[in-house]
Amino acid sequence: MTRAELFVSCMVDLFRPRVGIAAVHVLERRGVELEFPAGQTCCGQFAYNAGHHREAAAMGRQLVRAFEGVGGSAAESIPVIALSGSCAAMVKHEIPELLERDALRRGRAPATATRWRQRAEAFGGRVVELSEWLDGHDAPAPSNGASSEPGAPGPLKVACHTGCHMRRLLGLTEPPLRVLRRAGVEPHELVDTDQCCGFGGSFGLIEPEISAAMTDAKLAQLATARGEGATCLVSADLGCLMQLGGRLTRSGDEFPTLHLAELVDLADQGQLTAAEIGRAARSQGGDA
Amino acid sequence: MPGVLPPAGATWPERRRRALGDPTMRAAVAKSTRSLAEKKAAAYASYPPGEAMRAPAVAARRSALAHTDALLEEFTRQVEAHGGHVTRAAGPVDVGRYVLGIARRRGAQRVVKSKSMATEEVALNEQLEAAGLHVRETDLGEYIIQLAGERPAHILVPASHKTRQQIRALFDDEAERSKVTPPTGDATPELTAFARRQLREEFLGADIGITGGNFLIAETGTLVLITNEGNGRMTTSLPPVHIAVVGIDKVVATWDDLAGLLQQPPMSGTGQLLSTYTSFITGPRRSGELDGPEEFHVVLLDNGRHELLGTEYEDILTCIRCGACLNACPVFRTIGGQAYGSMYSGPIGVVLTPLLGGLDHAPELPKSACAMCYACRDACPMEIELPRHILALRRTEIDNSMEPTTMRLTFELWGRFWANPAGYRLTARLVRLGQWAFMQNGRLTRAPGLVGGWTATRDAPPVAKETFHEWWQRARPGSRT
Amino acid sequence: MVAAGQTGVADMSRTGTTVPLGHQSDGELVQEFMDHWVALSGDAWLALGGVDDVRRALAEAVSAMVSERGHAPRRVIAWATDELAPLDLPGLLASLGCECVWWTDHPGGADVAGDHQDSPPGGPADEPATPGAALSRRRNLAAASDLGITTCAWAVADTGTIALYATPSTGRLPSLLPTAHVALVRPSQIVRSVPDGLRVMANHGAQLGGLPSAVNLVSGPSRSADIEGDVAVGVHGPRRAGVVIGEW
Repeated sequence: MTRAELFVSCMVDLFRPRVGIAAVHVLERRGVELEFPAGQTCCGQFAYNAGHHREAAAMGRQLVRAFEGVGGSAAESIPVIALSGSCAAMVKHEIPELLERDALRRGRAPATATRWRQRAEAFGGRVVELSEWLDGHDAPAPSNGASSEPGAPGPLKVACHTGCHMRRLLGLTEPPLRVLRRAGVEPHELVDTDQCCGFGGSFGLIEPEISAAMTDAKLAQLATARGEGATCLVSADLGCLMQLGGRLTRSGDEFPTLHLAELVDLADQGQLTAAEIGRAARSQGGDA
Repeated sequence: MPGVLPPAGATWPERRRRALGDPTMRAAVAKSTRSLAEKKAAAYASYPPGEAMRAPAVAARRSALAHTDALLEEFTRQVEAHGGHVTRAAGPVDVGRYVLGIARRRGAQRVVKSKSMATEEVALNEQLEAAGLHVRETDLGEYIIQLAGERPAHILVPASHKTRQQIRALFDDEAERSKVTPPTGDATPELTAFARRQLREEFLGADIGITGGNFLIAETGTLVLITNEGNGRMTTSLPPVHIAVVGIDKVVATWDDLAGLLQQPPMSGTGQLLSTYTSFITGPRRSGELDGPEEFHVVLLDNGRHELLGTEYEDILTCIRCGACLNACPVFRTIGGQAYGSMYSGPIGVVLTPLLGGLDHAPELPKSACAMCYACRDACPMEIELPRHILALRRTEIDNSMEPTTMRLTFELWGRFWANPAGYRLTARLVRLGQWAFMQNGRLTRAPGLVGGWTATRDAPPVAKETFHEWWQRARPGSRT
Repeated sequence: MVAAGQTGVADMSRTGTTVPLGHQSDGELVQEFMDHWVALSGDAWLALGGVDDVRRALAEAVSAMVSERGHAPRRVIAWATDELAPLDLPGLLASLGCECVWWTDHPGGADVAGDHQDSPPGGPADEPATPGAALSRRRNLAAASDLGITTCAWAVADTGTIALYATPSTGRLPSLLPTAHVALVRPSQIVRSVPDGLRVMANHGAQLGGLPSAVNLVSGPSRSADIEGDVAVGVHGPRRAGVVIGEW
C-alpha cells in the first residue's frame, strides 16, 4: 500500500465534491491509502493573482500547516496528490517566496521568514498533480470501458483542455492525454489548444465580457471537436471546467464537462457511455 | 523622474466596448497574431543557431544594464567623433524643442518619418505639426493609420486591424485630397503601388528624416535600424538631416553583444532570419561621399526609463519590441491593440505603460488586460518576467489604495475567514443558506458583489449540498485527519 | 569613367575582394546563399567560369531587370569603383540598349542631361553651380533610373544577405532608388552566418580606421506585410533585386 495525502482545492471541495470522491475511488483502487488533512482550505491563488498578497499568505500558511500534520513535518516522503494543476503550481512556485516575503512584511525575523519558505518548499516538493501521479504509476485500470469485441465502436472521443498554469508552470501537457488513453478514450486537444479559456481568476470577475469572449473562442473550437464526435470535455482543472461549462449552460447548452478524475472513475467501472457521462456531468455531489 | 505618455483618448469601458463590438477588427487581429506566432516558431525551429545565439545575448544585455550611463557616454563620444550630434531628452518637451530647433535653423518644412515607437511616446508628430511642419509617416502600416487618424493596433504591424477594403477607401480619400490617381483596385500590388508613388514624392522632397533606432552600439557610435520596406533607408539617405529618437534602453556595449541580438527581432517578430534591410549608421556622410545626410543627430530619450534601472522591473528595458508577447496573448487577440490606449499594447504595454507613464496613467491595464496565463513569458525572446511584473503592479495598486473599497473589504474578509478551517467551513454553510435566492435550474445565475462579475456572463455551480470535507467526515470517519 | 577615391580616402569596396578569415570559396555556401536570396523573391545568376561568364550573366540579369520598362534608352547607374573595371560595363550596357551612368559627382555629364525630365532648369549641359544642386541632380537621376549596379563587401549564406558599404567610391542611392538593383558577389565573399559577416566588417573597420558612415545589409527586394498580412514586394526600395555570383 502506498500512502498519500489528498489536496482537493477549494473549488472541488465546495463546488464539485464529486471530483474529490471520484479521485478517492480511483486512487484507492490503485492501492493508495489516502489521508485527507482536514485543515486544508485554499491555496490563496485567487487573492494572490489579484494582488492581495497578505490574504494569500495567510491562506498559504494555513495550507502548509495543514499538510505538516500533527507530527510536524515528519511526512516528508508522503506524496500530496493535488486535484488542480493550477493550485499545484501555486503551491510549488509561488507560496514559498510569498510566505517569506510576507513574514518580513509582518516584522518577523529573517530566520523566521526563511523557515516559512523552507516549510513551504518542503510541502511543495511533495505535491504532485493527479494526472502526473497516475501517469507515473502505470497501473492499468481494473476494468475499462473500451470494448475489444469485433465490430465494437472505437474508443470514445473526448475533447481535452489543459489549463494555462498546468501547461506553462508545471509543464504537464502529455500526462493527462496518456492517462485518458490508458482509460480507454481517445483524447483530442482543441485547435489553438494553448489559448487561455478565459477563467483568469480575478480578471474573469472584473472583466466578465472579455473573459466570456475568450471562452466563446474556445467553445467555437469545441464545436468543431463536437462535430468530429467528441462526447464530452475533460480537463484536470476545475476552474477551466467551471468557466467553459458555465458559459455553455448560460446559452442553454448541456454538453457534458467532466474532470479527469471523474472520467477515469467511470472508466474503472466500465461505465464509459454517453448516458453515464451525461449523468456524471450533471451531478455535483457524491450520492446525488 | 517618471515619464509622460499621451493620454489614452477614451475611457477604458469605452475602449473595451468598441473593441468587443468590432468583429472585423477582432477577426483581423486573430488572424495576424496567429500567423506571426506560427512564423516565429517556424523560424527558430528551422534555424537552431538563432536560438543558440539568443540566450547568451540576453545575459549580456541584462548585465549591461548596470553600465547604461557609461555606455551612453561612450556612444556619445563616438558619434561626435564621427561628426554627429547627441542630445539627451528627459521627456516629450525636450525632444520637441530639439527637433524644432533644427527645423528652424534649416528652414525645414517637410519631414518624413520611419517607424518609431519613441516618437509616438512623445507625440512628436503633433508637436511638429503644431509648429506648421508637414509630417509624413512612411512605414506602410504607419502611413495607413496616419491617414485614418488612428493609433497603432500592434507595435510591429500597426495596421493589422484593417481590411484591404478599408485601406483602399483611405487611399481613395488621400488620392482625392492630393489630386492624384487613386489605386486601381484593392489587390495588394495595386495598393502598394499607390503608397510607393505617394511616398516617393515625400522622400525626395523632405528636409528632415526622422527614425527611431533598434539598437545603439556604444563601441563605435553606431545606430542600428531593422526594417523591411526601404523607407528606413530612404529616410536615412535622402533628406539632408537625419534625426534618430531612441530610448536610452537600446544601448549595447559592443558589436559582439549585438551579433547575438540582431536576428532576434526579425525571428521573433515576423519569422524572418534577418529583416530585408538592416542599416548600420555611424555618423553623417563623410567628405567625398556622393549621398547621405549632412547632419546626423541622436536624441537619447529617457521618459521614465532611467529610474527603472536597479529596480525589480529593470529587465523590461531589454525589450526588443518584437511583438511576440502580443501575438501570444489571448487578451490581445480578443481586444486588439487600440483598446490599450497606449502605443505599447499587449503584455509589454500592460507593464511599460504604467511604468513609464505612472500607475495612475493607466490603472486598468494590470488588472483588466491580463488573464495571468503566462503565454507572454514563454514567448518573450528576452525572457522578461512579464507575469511577475504584472502581479507586482497589481500588488502596488492595492498597496496604494487604488481599488474600490468594496473590493478591498471583500478580499480582507475573505482572507480572514479562509485562513482557518472553521471560518472556511462557516462561509460554506452561510452561502448554502442564502444561495437559493440567486439560483435557477440548479445553478447560480446572478450573484451579488464580486461574484456578480462571474454570473454576468456565466452560470456558476452552487455550493454543494455536502462538501468534500463533509463527505470525508461521513464516509471515512475512522481515518487520520 | 571610373573615379575612385577623389579625396584620398581608401576605397572601402576594394577590401571586399578578400575575406580575412582564411575562408575558402565553398560551393555549399554559394548554393545556400542563392537559395535564400531566391526564396526572398530575389533573382540570382551563377557565373563561375571567369570574367566572360560573369559578363554573360550580367547581361542576362540586366535584360531581365529592365525589360519591364517599355521605353529606351534604359538608364543604368553603377558604382564608380575600380572593382567593376574588368567588366567593361559601358560596352556591355550599350550592347543592350542601355546607357551606363557612373555614380560620381556629376554623373552622366552631357550624355544624360538632355533627355532627363528632372534636370535643373537653365542649361542642362552646364556644370551645376552648387554642391546642393549637384546632389539634387544625382538624386533625381537615381530616382529616374531603371537599374543600379553595385558590388558588395561581403555576403551571408544562412540568410541570403549582401552587405553594401557607403564610401566615396560607392554610395547609398544606386541600390535604393532605381526600380531594380543588381549586385556582383564573389563566392569568396560569402560567409556562413551574420555574426561571421559582422566579424569580417570589424576587420575591415580595423584596417581602414573605422566603419563606413553607412552599411546596409540587403536580403532580397523590399517587402511589407502590412496589408492583411499579405506579402508585398517592392514597397519603397527596389522592386527587383538580383545577384550575379562569380569571380572576375
